Amino acid sequence: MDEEQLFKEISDNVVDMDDEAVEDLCEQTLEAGIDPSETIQMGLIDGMNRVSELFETEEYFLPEVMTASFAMNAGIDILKPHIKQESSETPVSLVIGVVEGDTHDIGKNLVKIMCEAAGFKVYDLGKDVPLDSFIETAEENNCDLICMSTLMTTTMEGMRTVVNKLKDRGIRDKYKVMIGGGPISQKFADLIGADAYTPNAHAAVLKIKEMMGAN
Amino acid sequence: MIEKYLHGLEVPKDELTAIERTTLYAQGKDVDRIPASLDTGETMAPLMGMSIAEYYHSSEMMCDLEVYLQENFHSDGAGLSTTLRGMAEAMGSEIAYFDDNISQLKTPAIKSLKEIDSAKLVDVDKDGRLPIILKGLAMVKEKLGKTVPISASVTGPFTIAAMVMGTEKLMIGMIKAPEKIHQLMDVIVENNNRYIQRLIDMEIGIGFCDPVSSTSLINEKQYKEFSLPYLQKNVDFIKSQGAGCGLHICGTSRKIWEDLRDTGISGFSLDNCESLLEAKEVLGDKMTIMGNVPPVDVMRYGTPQDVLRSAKACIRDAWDSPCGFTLTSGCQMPTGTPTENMTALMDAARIFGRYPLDIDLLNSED
Repeated sequence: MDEEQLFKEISDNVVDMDDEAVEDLCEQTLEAGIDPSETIQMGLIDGMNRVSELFETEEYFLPEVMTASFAMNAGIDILKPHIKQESSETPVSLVIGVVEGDTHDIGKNLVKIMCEAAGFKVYDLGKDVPLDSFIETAEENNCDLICMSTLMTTTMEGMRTVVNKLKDRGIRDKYKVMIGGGPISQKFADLIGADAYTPNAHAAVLKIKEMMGAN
Repeated sequence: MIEKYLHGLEVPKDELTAIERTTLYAQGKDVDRIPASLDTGETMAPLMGMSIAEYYHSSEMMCDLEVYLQENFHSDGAGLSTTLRGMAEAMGSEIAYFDDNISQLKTPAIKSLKEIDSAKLVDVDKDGRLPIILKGLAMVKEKLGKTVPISASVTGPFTIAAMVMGTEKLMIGMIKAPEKIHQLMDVIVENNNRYIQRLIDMEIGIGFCDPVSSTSLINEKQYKEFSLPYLQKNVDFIKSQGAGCGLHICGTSRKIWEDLRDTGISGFSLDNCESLLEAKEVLGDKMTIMGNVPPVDVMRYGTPQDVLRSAKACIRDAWDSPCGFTLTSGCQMPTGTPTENMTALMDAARIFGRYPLDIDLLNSED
């Protein structure tokens, strides 16, 4: 198979959620001396982008997205050690996590997957994230956005605390703050002074692009 | 207490006990007002200064809270929930408890598809908190059962699977190894039936709570393959003994309503993100419709006036649903919900749901 065929096969197998086939094909690209960054972009991410579209049109739901993402990550695990140098481009970057006190991370993971497929650099802090970590990570990595998620009403006030901490440190305007999760609404975003509320992962990606003025 | 609402709205006094009202209403007979119930539970433990972690482990505290809520708010129902994690805990999942927050899944019982082979059949008298909840229910039934319908919330089988495996593992398992997931679902159905049997023996009502079956997470086809058949087995088990049950699904659910029509479920409680008007049209001839004042934006963060406005809209949309309507919130009310708002929800049923219904008042602005 030539390069283009391999990329297409990889992309197709991400869409088909076949992690073993993706792994085999990624190995083949390495043997053929293809730049692993290219394979990630043209094969794995391309496939995940198609998965995003299928999710948007409700042909795919969470089970398919999760399984496809699992296949994509299996490919990335194989390719990553062979990447010589990170590209010098500076993509939109964001820190994301589930706020302190809450461990429900499916929604956050979905937003992360879609953001990575859109080409954003994502710093994923995971779940039950201490509130200061959002700010510290954003500062250390010069992020553009701070994204917070929670499914619980008891922890949603943590989002307000982060916004207030940003204000206290005089760096509120450095970041766009986007929030989401089951109990969260535009009303709550307005109440705490967040820049955006988005109801799902697809809307989150569109909103980030809009706020960052990217394509 | 609220002395007076805007526009001089009076709050007519209740004339029936909750049990009289709900029984007559279900028979289609005249009652004083539309039934209304407060969706409470562990999130209300802080109202009595209780640690939520301690509440979860004390039948006495569970009962005390139900009595307190009943004395203060007079909801048309009382009862206890297994919580979404109760059955999973009994099956071996590790649950984290907090003084000021509801519990959360810490470590799933089943960590790989292989471990499904050893999925555990529970002993409801020994495992997890199930015996504590059952004892609490018996106490609540004794204390309040003469005047208030007592019910228990049971977790839907598919949601239990998510709490036994972790939701992501369950989702991936559905694609990669559907037969293993079906195997697990069979074990869960049996476990639920064991618990349900006790509830039926105690003459306690049953309501399923099944948020992971929301179409926010899975599609209709997946619902019909992995979730509904197993819920149906529990429902059939209940109905075979002459009892009934309700169902609540958090999040979106519209696309599976047609599938619920013939399940034999006698009540459906919908999230505030779905339409009562549409539920009345699609499901109203088959079951009672319950809902759906927004629990966060209105109950937790709104004012009593916001609650009245929202509740009035709910009553306007669904009071004439063929199999009846119960006013409640779209999901469990959060910790920190102002007590004035809880009172306002009940008062909304007294003001706007008073028979004979005042249609002009229902249609009035604000």
